[in-house]
Amino acid sequence: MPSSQADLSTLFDHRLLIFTGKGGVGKSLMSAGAALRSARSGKRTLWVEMSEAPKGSYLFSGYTPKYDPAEIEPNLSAMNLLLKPAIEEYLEIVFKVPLLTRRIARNSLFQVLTAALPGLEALVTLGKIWYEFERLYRGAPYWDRIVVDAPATGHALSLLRFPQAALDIVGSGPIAERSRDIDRMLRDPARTAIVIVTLLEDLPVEESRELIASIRQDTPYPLAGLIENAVLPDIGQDDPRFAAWLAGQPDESIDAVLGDRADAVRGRLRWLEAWRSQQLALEPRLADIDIPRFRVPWLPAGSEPELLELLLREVLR
Amino acid sequence: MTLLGLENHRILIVGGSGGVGKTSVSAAIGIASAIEGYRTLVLTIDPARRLANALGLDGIGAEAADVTPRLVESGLAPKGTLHAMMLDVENTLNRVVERYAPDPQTKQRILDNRLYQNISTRLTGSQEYASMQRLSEIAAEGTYDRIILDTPPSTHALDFLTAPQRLMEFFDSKLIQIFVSVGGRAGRGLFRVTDVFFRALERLTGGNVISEIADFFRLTEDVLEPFRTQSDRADALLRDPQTTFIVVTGPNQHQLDDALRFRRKLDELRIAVSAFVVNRWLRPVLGTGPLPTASEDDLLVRLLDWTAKLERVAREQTDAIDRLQQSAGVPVHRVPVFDADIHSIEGLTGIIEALERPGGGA
Repeated sequence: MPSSQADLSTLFDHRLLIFTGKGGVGKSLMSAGAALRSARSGKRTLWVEMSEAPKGSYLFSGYTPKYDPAEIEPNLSAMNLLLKPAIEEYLEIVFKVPLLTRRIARNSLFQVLTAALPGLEALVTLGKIWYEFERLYRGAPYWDRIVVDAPATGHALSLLRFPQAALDIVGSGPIAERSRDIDRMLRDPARTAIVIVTLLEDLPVEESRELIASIRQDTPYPLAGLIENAVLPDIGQDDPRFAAWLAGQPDESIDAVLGDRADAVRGRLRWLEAWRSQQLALEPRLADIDIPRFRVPWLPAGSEPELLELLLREVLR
Repeated sequence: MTLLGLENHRILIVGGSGGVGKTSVSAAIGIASAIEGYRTLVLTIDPARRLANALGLDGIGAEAADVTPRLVESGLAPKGTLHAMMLDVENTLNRVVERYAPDPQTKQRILDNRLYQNISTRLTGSQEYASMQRLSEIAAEGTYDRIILDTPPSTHALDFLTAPQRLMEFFDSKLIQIFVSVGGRAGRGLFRVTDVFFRALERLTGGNVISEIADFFRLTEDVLEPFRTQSDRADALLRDPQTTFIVVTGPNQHQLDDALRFRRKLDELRIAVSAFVVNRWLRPVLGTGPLPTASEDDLLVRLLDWTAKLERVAREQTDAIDRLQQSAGVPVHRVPVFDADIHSIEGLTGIIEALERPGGGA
C-alpha cells in the first residue's frame, strides 16, 4: 500500500485532473485540495465544479460559485460548469447572434429538451473543458492545470462514454472534430488523470468497483488512481497492550494518566476501532483492482475550510 | 412517550441531503410507529443493501412487504404492523403511461421513444415526481395509519420539492402545442437557430431528433391531463395538515446550514416541518477541563492525541447543533454515532431511543 504524500503528487501533477465517485465521498474536497495545492505551488489553476448544488462556497469562504471563472486566491480560479450557461456560450460561439441565442437557450422547453437529448450535455460541458485546456495566452497555456470536480458515478460515466459514441455515429464535421479533440485529451495518460474517490463503506466500495469496470469496458480512457478517503487512524494495533486495555483490562500507565476519564476514553476509542475494523474488512473487496490506490486519512476538523487546510498541511504537502 | 411528538401526523416525509442517513432514520421511525400501534408503511428508494437485508427488503419489488414478523423475531412487540416498499421509479412513470395511454400501440410507442426513456430515467425530477405519485396513490387507498416516505438519495434536499415542478413546467410549456399541432417540419422552421441547432443534434444522435420530439409530445398528449391532475393531488398532499417533514442532517456546520436553508425553503412553500434529526453526532465524552498529556509511553501519547482530536470535533459538532437548536423553532433530535454501520433491526433501536427524546444534549 503506497503511503499518501509522494504518491499522491504523482497523481496530482497531471495537467488535467478529473475526480469522480459516489456522491458524498469527498470528491469536492479532494479536488479542491488538489487545485489549492497546485495554485500554492505557483501554477495557474482552474477548479471546475459541475453541480446544481455547488460546494465551492463551503470550501472557500467568500466565493460564490458561478459560470465565469473567478479568482479565489492568487493562481486559483474557480467556475461552476453547468449545462445551461455552457449552451448559451456554445451557441454564441457557433451562431454569433448573442441576443437571439440567449432567448432560445433560456426557453424552458429548449432547456429540458437539451438536457434530455443524449450526448448534448457531454458535448457542451466536455467541450468547454477542452477549450480551457487548449486555451493559450501569449503562446503558452492559459491554465497550467485544470482540476475537475466531475459529477457522481452514473452521470460521469455518461460523460466519458460520449466521445466514442459520437465518433461511432458521425465521421466528419464540427461535432466529430470536437469529439475527437475531447477524446484525444482524455486518452493521454501523460497529461490527464481520471481519479476515483471512495470511502471504505459498503455502498461506495461497491459503486467504485462498478464504475471502474464500466469505464474500462465502455471507454478507452486510462484510470490514474483510486483514492480511499477518510481512512481512520490505527492507534495501537501493533501494541498488544492497546487491544487488552480496549477489551477492559487495566493498564497501569494508561489508567494512571486518564484517571476517572479512563472509561469514557475507552468507550470512544472502542467506537473508533470498531469503525476502523469495518473499513479494514472492506479492503479485500478492492484488492483485485489493478489501478494505483491511495489513502487519505480521516482528518479531525469541524468545518470545510479547516478540513481543506488540514488536507493540504497533513496530506498533500 | 410518543416518537417525535407526531401522533397526529399521517404522512411523514423524511428529507435532507444525500448521505446523511435518511433511510436509517426512516426505518427507525417506521419501527417505532409499528411498536406504538400504527399500521405503518415505509416507502424507500434503493436503500443500502445491508439495511435492506435487515428489514427483509431483499428481493422485493414495488409491492408492500410485511416486515412485522422480522420485528417480532428481533424481540420487539409491535402493537401495529410494519410494511416496507421499494419504489421502482421507472415503473411508476411507466405505470402512468400504461394506465392512460389510449391504445396499446400508443403505449408501446411512448415506451420506445428515446426521449421518453431519457426523461424517465435520467432527467432530474422523475424520481421525485414518481415517489410523490406513489405516495398520493397509497394515501388515497387508506390502508395505513402512517406512511413514511424516505425521499430519493438526490444530492440536494431541495430537488425533492422543485424537480417535480420543473418536470411539470416542461410538459406544460406552450411550445409543446407547437410541436404537437404542427409536427416536425413546421416546428423546425420556427426558429432559425433552433433549426440549425437541431440539425447539429440530428447528426449527433444519428436519428431524426425533431420528429422524435414531435412524436413524443403527440403521443403523450393523452397522458398529459391525468399526469397534471396527479401532480396537483401530490402537491395538495404536501400541504395537507396531516403531512409533515422531518429534516435529517449530518452534524457538521455546513450540513446544519444546509438543513436550516432547507427548512426555510419549506416554510416559504408552507410545508410543515416538525423536527430536525441530526444523525451521526459524535457525543463529547470527556467533560470539561484539559486532557492530561504524556510524553514517554508511545501508545499513551497516540491514544491521548487521538482522544483529544476526536473530542475537539465532538465539541465543535455539539456547539453547532446547540446553535441550530436555538434558531430551529422545532425539536432537534441528536442521534449519536454507533459502534458500527447499522445493518440490523437491533442497530436501529439506538436511533429510535434518540428520536424519543428531543434535545438529547451532552
